Amino acid sequence: MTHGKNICNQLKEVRKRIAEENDIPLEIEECTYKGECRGTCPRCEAEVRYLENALAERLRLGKVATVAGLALGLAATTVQAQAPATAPAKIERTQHELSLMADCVTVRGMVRDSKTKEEIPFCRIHIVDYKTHVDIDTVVNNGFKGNFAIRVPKGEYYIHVHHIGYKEGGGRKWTIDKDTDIGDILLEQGVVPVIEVGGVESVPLSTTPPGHEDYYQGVGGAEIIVR
Amino acid sequence: MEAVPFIGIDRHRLGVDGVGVTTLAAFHGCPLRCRYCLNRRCLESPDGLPRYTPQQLYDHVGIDNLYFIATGGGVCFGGGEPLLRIDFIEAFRALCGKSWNLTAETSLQVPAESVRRACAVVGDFIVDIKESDPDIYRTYTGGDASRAWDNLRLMLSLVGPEHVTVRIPLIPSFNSEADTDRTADRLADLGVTRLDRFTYRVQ
Repeated sequence: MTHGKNICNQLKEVRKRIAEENDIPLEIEECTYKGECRGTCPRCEAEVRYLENALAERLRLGKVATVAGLALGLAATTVQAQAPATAPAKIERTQHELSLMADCVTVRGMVRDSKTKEEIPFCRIHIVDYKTHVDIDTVVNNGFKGNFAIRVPKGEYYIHVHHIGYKEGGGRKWTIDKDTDIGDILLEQGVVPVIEVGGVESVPLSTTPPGHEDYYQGVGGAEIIVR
Repeated sequence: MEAVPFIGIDRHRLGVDGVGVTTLAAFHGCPLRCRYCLNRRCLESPDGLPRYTPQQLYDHVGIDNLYFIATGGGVCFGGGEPLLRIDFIEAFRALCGKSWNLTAETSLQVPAESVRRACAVVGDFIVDIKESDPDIYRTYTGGDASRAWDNLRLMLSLVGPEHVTVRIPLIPSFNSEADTDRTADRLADLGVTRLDRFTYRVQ
């Protein structure tokens, strides 16, 4: 099992236990995505928001919201005075996102230096909803190459790419209604020169598994460090 | 408090930074110059790096609040050297309260007072002790081993060995297995019970 899938499965188990402990209806569908992932996706994030709102609702109704410990050894913790800080307005967005679970497609691309055409690794790629300007997701492309791949609901997006030493790239609107390869995103060098990320890797997080060079690594989050 | 530069924020880490689901927040800046530094960006200019105040970081990483509480996880401060930013970490603890576990990955190359303050707000420490031989330590890091080891003794006395994991690297061309064995023995003499021995793979 790939590293990202392993993370996803463990996080899924956490969500499942929270839902079960608190009588929150949550249908966790089997992920049909094939290939490397980074352990989370818009669908997984939407489930977390859904659970947060459901727990907040329990607290508002005077019920106990129990956030259970996992097999990592934690005891169940009863949360009474600690409502998750989630605004009610997010409920609507979460339901919308849940409804889009079955409509996710893959967006691929490659980030290159505009002058040398060399691939640029460790970029932050922001996927922004064209209509709402909401940042749907931010990924980091493959640790040692410039290619990236991300699952998003069908829709219209801006795709912005950032990297230290370069001006922001991308920025145009994309209509994504099927698996799409947006080709090369060229970054123009900025004031700060490109910093080559070097060093030693003693854990497998940034190593691309053979046969999965197309996909970004499962490190999650907005940015990456070399570990 | 003004915003400080970070070289990276990494979500959904499992089992590498302590208990539960953690987010690694890596500060810019380090007093050492290790030959095989894993995060060289922390040694270069902070220009262009994202900057956060404690409140901004708290808001940013709070997206995983549910996982933190459910699994006993939280935020791991690394870098660079996180204990150079003890003011920030103290302020962050005040924001997150006791619900999140805070971990720090540190070389202990900081004033003893920073270690004392960290021990009051950080739950668990991962110590990069590098080496016990002072010559090897200086050759590899450019720093003074005695300061790190003195701080380790202080830390153990304040938080106890159950909250301290010490990493012992086998570094090609710098130390040997015999050196790491000696370091492990010395750590055992200090009362360290949690060791993480690993080998650098130079590319």
